[in-house]
Amino acid sequence: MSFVNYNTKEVNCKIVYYGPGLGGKTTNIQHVYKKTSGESKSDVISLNTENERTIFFDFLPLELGEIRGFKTRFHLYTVPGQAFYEASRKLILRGVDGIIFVADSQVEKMDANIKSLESLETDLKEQGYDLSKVPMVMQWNKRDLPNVVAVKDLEAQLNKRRLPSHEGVAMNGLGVFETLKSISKLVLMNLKGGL
Amino acid sequence: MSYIETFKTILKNNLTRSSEQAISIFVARMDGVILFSNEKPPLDKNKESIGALVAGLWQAAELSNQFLESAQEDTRLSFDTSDGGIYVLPISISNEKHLYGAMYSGQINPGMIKNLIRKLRDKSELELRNEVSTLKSEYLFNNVTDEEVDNLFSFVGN
Repeated sequence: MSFVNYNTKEVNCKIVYYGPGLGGKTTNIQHVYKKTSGESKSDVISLNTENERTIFFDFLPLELGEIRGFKTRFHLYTVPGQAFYEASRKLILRGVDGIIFVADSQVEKMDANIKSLESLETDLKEQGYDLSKVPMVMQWNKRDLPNVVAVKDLEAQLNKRRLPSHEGVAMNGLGVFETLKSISKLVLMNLKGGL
Repeated sequence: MSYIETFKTILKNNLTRSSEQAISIFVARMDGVILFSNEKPPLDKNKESIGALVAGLWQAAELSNQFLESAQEDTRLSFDTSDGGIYVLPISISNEKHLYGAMYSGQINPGMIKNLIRKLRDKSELELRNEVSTLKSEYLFNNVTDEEVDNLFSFVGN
C-alpha cells in the first residue's frame, strides 16, 4: 500500500514485476538500475541462487523526480518465477500498488505465461484485492527471438482485460522504461493519500 | 506529537550517548517502507534496502513459524554473532503491526542491547497507543500527464 508523508512531502509506491520463470523480470530491473544516474543511486538487492535464479526477490529503490511538490520513490520488486516459490510470491505481492506482468513471447512459454497469470490472479484475490482496481500493465518480452507468438495472439490469450501493453527486449533495454512509465502513471493516478 | 517525534523523544530520553552512536534503530511498515530511523550507519545510506530485506525476512519467518502448532504471538527475530547483528520486534502503531528493529556491532553484551531494544519498543508502543490513523480516501493526483511522468524519469541516462 502506498505511503504518503505529508510532512516530508514524499510518496512511496510498490511495483512488482510478475511473470513466469526466466521471462525477463530481473533483466528489466537490472536495466533500470543500469540507467539510473546520480549520487543517490541505490544498488539492486538480489536474493538468488548461484546461477542467478531469483529465490526470494530482487529489490530496487528508485528515487524519481517530483510531481506536484511530492518527491516520488518507487520500490521495484521482482518475484521468483519458478512454480516452486508460490509462497514467496504471495508475500511479495502484499501491499502492491502496481504490477508489471512480464510475459515470455516464445511459443513454448505460452503455457507458463498462462499459469503464471492464473497464479497472480489467485494470489491477489486471496489477499482481498479487486483485480479490476489494481493498476497493471503487460510487457511482451523477448520480441527479438525468432520463435515468438504474434502480439495479437498474446493480447488475445493473456490480455483479456485489454490492459496497456508494451513490446520489449529487456536484454537490451527495449520497452523497459516505456513499461515502467506506463505503470507509474497508473499507480500515481490511483494513489490515495495515506498516513 | 507525530509518531516520528515520539520515537525521537523516546530514544533521546532512554539512550546514553554511546548507545545512541552504536545502535541503528528503525521502524518499518510490514511492506518494508521505513517510517523512522535514527540515521546511524548503515541506515543513513541503505535505509530502503534494509527495510525491504527486513520486512521480507520477517514475513518469511512468520509464515514458516505458522507450521508450528504452538506458534506464539510475541515473536522476535534475531540474526547475530556474539557481538553484533540485527534484532527485530513487532510493534503496534494505529492498531497495525509494524517492525521495530536495531542493528548493532562491537557490543560486549548483546543481551543487554536486546533488552534495551525491547524496552524502547514497549515505551514507544505505550506512547503511540492513542494514535489514530487518518486514512485519506481522496485521490492525491488527478489527471497525471505524460509530460509529468517523463519529468519523473528525466534522470535516465543514455
